[in-house]
Order: sequence, then C-alpha cells, then structure tokens
Amino acid sequence: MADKKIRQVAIYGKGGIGKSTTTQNLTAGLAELGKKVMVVGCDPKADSTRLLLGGLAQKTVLDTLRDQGTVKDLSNILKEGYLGIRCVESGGPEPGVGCAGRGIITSIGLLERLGAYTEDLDYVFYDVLGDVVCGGFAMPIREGKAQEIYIVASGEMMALYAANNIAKGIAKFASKGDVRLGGIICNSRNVDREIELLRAFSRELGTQLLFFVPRDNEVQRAEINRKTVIQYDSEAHQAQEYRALAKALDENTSFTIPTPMTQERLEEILFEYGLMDALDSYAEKI
Amino acid sequence: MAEIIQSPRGACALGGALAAVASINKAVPILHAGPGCGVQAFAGQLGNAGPNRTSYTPDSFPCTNMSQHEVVFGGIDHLREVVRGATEILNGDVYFVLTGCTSDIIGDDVDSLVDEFVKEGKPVTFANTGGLYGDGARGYEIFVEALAARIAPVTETKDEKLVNLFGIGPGLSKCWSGNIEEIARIIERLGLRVNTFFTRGEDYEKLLSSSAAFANIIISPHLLKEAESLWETRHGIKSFRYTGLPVGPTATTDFIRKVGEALGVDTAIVDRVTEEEESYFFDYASVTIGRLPTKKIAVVADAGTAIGLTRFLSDDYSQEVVRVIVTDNVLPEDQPLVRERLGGFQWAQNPEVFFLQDDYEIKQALEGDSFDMILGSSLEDEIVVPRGLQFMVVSIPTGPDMILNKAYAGYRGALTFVEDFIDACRPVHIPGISL
Repeated sequence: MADKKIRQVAIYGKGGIGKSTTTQNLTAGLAELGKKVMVVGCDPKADSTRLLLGGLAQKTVLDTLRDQGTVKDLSNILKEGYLGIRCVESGGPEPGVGCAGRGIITSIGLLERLGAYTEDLDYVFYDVLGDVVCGGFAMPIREGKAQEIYIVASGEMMALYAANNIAKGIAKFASKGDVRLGGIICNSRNVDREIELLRAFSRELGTQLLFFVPRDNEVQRAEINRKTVIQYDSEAHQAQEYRALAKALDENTSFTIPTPMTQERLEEILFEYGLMDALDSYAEKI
Repeated sequence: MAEIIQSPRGACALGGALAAVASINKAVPILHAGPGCGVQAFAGQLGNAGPNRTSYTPDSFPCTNMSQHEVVFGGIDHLREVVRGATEILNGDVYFVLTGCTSDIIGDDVDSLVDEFVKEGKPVTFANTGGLYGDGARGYEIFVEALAARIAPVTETKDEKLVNLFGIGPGLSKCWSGNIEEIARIIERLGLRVNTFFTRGEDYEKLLSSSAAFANIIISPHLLKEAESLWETRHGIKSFRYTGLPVGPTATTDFIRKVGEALGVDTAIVDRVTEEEESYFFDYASVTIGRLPTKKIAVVADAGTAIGLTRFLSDDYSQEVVRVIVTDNVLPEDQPLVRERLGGFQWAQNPEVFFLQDDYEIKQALEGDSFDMILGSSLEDEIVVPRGLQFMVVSIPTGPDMILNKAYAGYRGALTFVEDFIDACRPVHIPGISL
C-alpha cells in the first residue's frame, strides 16, 4: 500500500460564524464520499460534534482528565457518529479559570499518545474556537499537525476583520512549517454583493474563495433536530451544497501562504464592494 | 539594558518577596508556583546575601508545585488544599501566599481564595509575585505594597513615637540585616520606636502596627515609590526618604539631622546623639590613621550600597573612588539622582558612573588600570587575581562569606567596614612575582 497521508484540516473563523455547523455538514459530505474522518472539537464549549453525535453525547478530554486524572482508553473520549465519523471534544476548564489554550495542547497531545490518529483515516478536522487568542489555539497548526487551514467568513465586516487576523497567524506559522491556507469558505449572511466581496477579499489574501454556502433555514431545522442537513433531509438543496463543498475541499490543490492586508486596505475593499453603502442604507431604513 | 542578563545578581520578584516573608518571625510563606521556583528564588535572593539567619520555616515551604493539571484547570483548588494544610499543621502567626509566574500567567484568582480563609478568621494574605513582574527588588516592593494595601489595617490613631523603616530589603544587599539594626538603633536613640519588620525577631504584630506609625523612613534613592504613595493615600502616613545607605559619620549625621528635622525631633537630642555617636566612631577610627595609603577604587554594588560606601570612602576616609557600577535596576528617570549622589564630595573628584546589570558588560566596564582595588560582589573575584587587584565583597552575591549581624551602615557599621577594608588591603601575591 502506498504511503497515505492523513489530511489534517483546521477550520478557523470569527466566533458565531458557523464553523462547527460548516465543519459537521462538510465532514458528513466527505463521509458520504467514503472518506474516514475524525473531528476534534477545539472549543471549551464542546459543541463541535453535536450534529454528528445527535446531541452533546460524550465526555470531553479535559472533563475526563479532571475527573479521573488520566484517560486510560480512547473509547472514553472518542465516539463514532453519523456515517462512522469519529468525534472528540477537547473541552476546557470552567469559564474564567485556568488556561483553555494549554488545555487544547494537552488534549491533542493525549490523542496522539492514545493512538487516535490511525492509518485508515483520510481526514482529521480541528474545529477551533473564534480568534486565535493565544498559542494554545494555534496548536492545531503548529508542530506539523494541521497543514490545511480554511477560514469560514461572511460578507460582514467583523467576520472579515477576524479572517484577516487569523491569516496573520497562519502566515507566521507558514514561514517555518508546512501549514498553508486552503481557502475561504463563505457561510452566507445574505449581505449585498457578498460573493463579489468574498472573492475580492480572498484574492487580496492570496487565496481562493473555496465555496459559497448559501443561507438556508434548512440548516437551522436540522440543527434543532441535532442532525447535519445531509442526515436530516438528504434530498434538500442545502444538502447538495454541503456535498459540493465536501467535493471542492477534497479536490482542492490550491494551498498558499496568505498575504494578510492592512486595516486600511481591508476597509478600502469593504468600501469598494459597497458594504459601507449597504450599512448606510440600512441606517436610513431604521 | 541587555535583553538577556548574564549572571543576574539576585533572583526574581518571587525571590525578593520570599526573602521578605521568610525574614518575618513566625510568618509562613506558601508558594503557588511551579516545581523549583521556591528553591531557586530562596537561594537566589536570601542565599546570595550570606547565610544571615534562618527563617521560621528555614528553607522549606508549603508549595502547590503547579504542573499541567493546575495550568489547564486552574490551580485554586490545589492551593486551597495547601493553604488549609499549612494553616492546620504549621504554627504560624500569618500565612503569605506568594504566586509564581505560572499562576500569574493563567490568572488564578488568589485574592478570592485568600478571602475565604480571611472570612474564617485565619491570618492568610497574599501577593502576586511572579518573576515576570521583575527582579528581587521589585518583589520586595510588591511585599511592601501588599503591606500598605491589604495587610495593615486602616486606623486614624497614630503613635507619635512609632516609625516604619523601609528601603533595605532582605537579601537585596550584603549586611542588610545588620544595616537595618544599626539604622534602627540610631533612630531609636532619638526617642522613637522603629518597626524594622525583618530583624530582631519582629513578627506579624509589627506588620499590623505599621499603620499606627506616624511616619515612614525609606532608605533608598529609587525603590518603593508606589508603596510611598499607598502609605500616604490609604493610611495618611508620609515618608521621609534618604537617597542612599548612610555609612560613616558624615552621612549618618546628615541622615539623623534630616530625620530629626522631618519628624520633629528636639534638636538638643539630635545634637547629643550625633556627638556621642561620632565620638564613638572617631575613638576607634583614629587607630587606623596612617594605616593605608590612598587607593584608587572601583565600586560594584546596588545603588544604595554604592552611594553609601562611595560617600564614606570619599568624605570620611580619604580614599578615591574612580569608577562606580550600579548593578540593580535603576530606571532611567532615577539615574540622575543616583548619579548626583555619587558625586559632589568634600575632598574627592566624582567617579565615572555606569548603570549595568549584565555581568559581561560589568566586566567590560571594569577594564583598564585606573584603579587598584575592587569593592564588588563575589562575581568580581574572578578578575582580581589575574590583574593583581585588591578586593573586598560588599554586594550580592556575597559568595562564601559568613554574614550574621554584620553592618556597614551607620556609625558602628562604618567601623566594621573599616576593619574589613583594611583586612582586604593586605598585599596581593601576584603569581610569578616575589614581593
């Protein structure tokens, strides 16, 4: 058998942009393609695998460590969800206590020691919380773990600010390692000229707009039912969109070192694509 | 200042604060720090200033030994256990939680934990003393700030005879303990009582009574500015600051006269005390007249010690200090004052003054042949033998010297300094040259 390399993918993006939703629907699409996938939630809220597992159905790595002092068996912290997708939640300390960043480092180290990265895996996804606030949250892209990064964004200003900031972190680690930006995934908020803005933003960042996920209430319906869209309503249009996203990611060969822009340049692009006009007209309306 | 300091002279903030707490009778330090922090900090600060005396819990303290588990989940639960255990097992008057870098980086809420014990009526307090805050002198400052901010109770009642003595931090200089005792002895001759906090077996009661003092005396050109302000705003206690260690009759009489003036001591008492003390000094010092030719000297020491010894040697002892290297962290805004106090002598020229902390830079600044004696730390020992220089340890690290209650400050301390100085001026045997 030829050497098969696990594609380790990290998903970053502004808090609340839809990283976990996108990651779970995307991995459901990959699983349908016959890919073996593991999803590692790297967010203290531990809600990265809820749709795949049909609820918050497992104990996190750090909860287990806290209660038992050690994790003896992988089965304590890893559960299989929809289509055999392996799900792990790093978890974190109580809010306002300890160091969640160090918790992520601890969890990933533990997964490695317990042999979670088996050879049959095609993909490992790290679903990382909001901004890269400290070294711990950059762990998935350090030390040769995730080599592919995708940033989930939308046409909203703060989402693009965050994406640009995240790109700065990626550029830093890319200069001394193999980590590369695979593209931007737009989780649409139905902002005016959103796709043009995201294309221009991606181009300026030295990457591509990998996929534009349209806004669809089917996602919310599936979430309420604790399912990915593909599982909840396999024939829905949105399910096809996520399948297409999975295919685009699977076939992606464009990996670059991002070229983050200055604040001024980012704001120029926002003006250029009418975001400011849209805000003005919104202000007039209200 | 160099980014990396080679051979720093002292420990981190934890070391300075630990040296302070460990020097208070029946005060128990409780470290909330990683493994090794305590021993390094203790040895690096108090151990570097000579053995002095042992503290209540000699060199073994309760510690949380924080590791990965405490970092990830927070170390408060573990600290609670350790504080509980310490208060039950160790018979202390007061328990000081001192934090290391690990705790301060993850932001453990030690304040709230300590509050739990305070509500139970237990004498537990704390200070955030992670090494990231600075050096040992900063740790001493943090301790004094904690004393003013949360330990000393606010009281309107002031004792018109009680003063607090600050500025000479435990372990921050050679003879710190003896120096405090000598300065306190002289101040007490003026009819005042002195809280020294760290000597003479003084305990928690002195910390509590500190807010009843009517004045602070701070002996340092640059330390304790924040604390000085806290004492004034929280307790209405003003501070009299003397910018350098008073060593010998000229400086000590100047110190006493200024203290007397600032604190409203009867001038007749000041005159009598200074006259008697000077007489005592000169009775002995006169024996040494003619014993030594004038030497050209380089002084390497913290600002307070450097000012004290340089002024004594220049004003009282007919020696010529040609170069001074100030080795503690004197901020740029404080350097002009220190420089000023290292000059303007009655009978000598001003020395060259450097502010350096890095050992390599210090050694470079000691190049040249403009002096024939170094008064420095044990770190200068290595350069004096090959260059045939005379040498005396006057600053930290003191190396193997046994130091108990020896003082260089004041009138009597200056006599001890003269004894050590003359001993150090015995002929140097240069290898290969017969004298």
